[in-house]
Amino acid sequence: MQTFKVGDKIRVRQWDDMAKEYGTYTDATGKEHICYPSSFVQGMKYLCGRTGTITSIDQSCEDIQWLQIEWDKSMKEHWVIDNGSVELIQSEETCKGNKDISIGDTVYIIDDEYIYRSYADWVMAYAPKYAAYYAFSHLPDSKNDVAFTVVAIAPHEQSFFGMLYLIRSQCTRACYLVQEKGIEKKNNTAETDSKKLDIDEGACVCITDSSKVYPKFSQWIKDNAPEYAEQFAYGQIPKEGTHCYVVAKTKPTLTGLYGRLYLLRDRDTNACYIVREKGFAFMVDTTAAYDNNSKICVGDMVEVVDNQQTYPNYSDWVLFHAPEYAHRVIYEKEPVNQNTYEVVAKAPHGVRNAMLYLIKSVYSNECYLIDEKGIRKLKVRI
Amino acid sequence: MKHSEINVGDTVWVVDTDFVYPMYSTWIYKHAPIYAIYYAFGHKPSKDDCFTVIAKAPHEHASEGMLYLVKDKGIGSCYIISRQGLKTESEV
Repeated sequence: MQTFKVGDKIRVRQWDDMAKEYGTYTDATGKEHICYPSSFVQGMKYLCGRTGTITSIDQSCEDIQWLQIEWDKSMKEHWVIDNGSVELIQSEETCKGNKDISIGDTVYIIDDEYIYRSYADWVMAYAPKYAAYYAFSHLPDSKNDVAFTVVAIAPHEQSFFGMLYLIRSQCTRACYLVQEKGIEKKNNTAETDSKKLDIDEGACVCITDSSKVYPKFSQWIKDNAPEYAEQFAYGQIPKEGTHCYVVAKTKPTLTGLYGRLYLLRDRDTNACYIVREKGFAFMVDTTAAYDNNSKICVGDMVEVVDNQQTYPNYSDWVLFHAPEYAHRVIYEKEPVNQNTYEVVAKAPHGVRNAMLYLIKSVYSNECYLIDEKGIRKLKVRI
Repeated sequence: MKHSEINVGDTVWVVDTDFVYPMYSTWIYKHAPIYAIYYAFGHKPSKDDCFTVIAKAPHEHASEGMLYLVKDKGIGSCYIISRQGLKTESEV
């Protein structure tokens, strides 16, 4: 009988196929089972054709292996199956793929011809939790979808096509299914970064790690973006969570010297910061919504004109964009019309193309989340 | 202008893609989970494309009104859209 290794992908053989090889017998209750050395009984017949990965092997006899299987489709039943009842689909070595790409890696699409736009069955079988994020029937948006994170890896149902990768855009969060040939893993060397990483100017980002900021790197500004020299916030470090636009990046000719750095401009203050790539994360591009409301900034005083525009339950927004105010937000309640508030945070709605504002009462520390339509800027600024 | 009522099974046309909700996966998980896999997350349909309404349910914020899950008559991709972005056969 064929022997297996942990990590091999297997398929349970068809009943007739095993019956032909090993023969069958009927027990006292009239049920038909497969003969020794197989241990396949009638009650396991529904497993025929199922696929899975071997997670452990118990080899008590010389030839017979007892295989513990993790099933590909969401099956809760646990069966230990002998090696005579299964067939190899893909060996553990092949499963790893030849590009050494694993879950969590950042990858880039090098050829969208290899994207599976409508392979819903694969997503439902191997990554059902990403089903609603699979951009069914669409290709990635070349403007926003630049870098991707691998979230699932599994073989195509026809092994000829090899491994498929479910990758998630680091910008829009949309998922795409792609063959190995269509993606390339990010290489961490500066030279490769300059070729593969293509974060466009204008991309919306959020500073996530202020230790990756270079507050005194004036030379970089002179070499790469002298037009922003005046706006460079020399010696200052932005708060984590600051929303910025990418306005410049290290010139390709200088990447060997400096590595890959980006000049980010604060959306609200226009101050510019030099940040290494790992110091910020992409946000969904909401330029349009932002421009429409550029008059109202954090720190502005506003008057509530329509308290029905309040989002009384949108705690996710607060926790993501202004966690420092989470304990002050008043849920299930609206602010008072015509009262004055200070804008303490602004960011796009997570779903709609609209800008939301977190406003704090000037009389108390109560905060409310409100749509742009519900407030009007006052001619005073603190 | 008052819009006519749209029901599941109706044929509709997308007239304004600004009313599409391309990243509202929580709605689809809540109201039409069997179609989650066909939801074109992060994308919008083309204007004037023809669709079949396969589910309807309100937005979690009542002020946003009723949302419709519409399915492309060709490839079958689904989009969430509010009433203002749709036109019915009677409004053509």
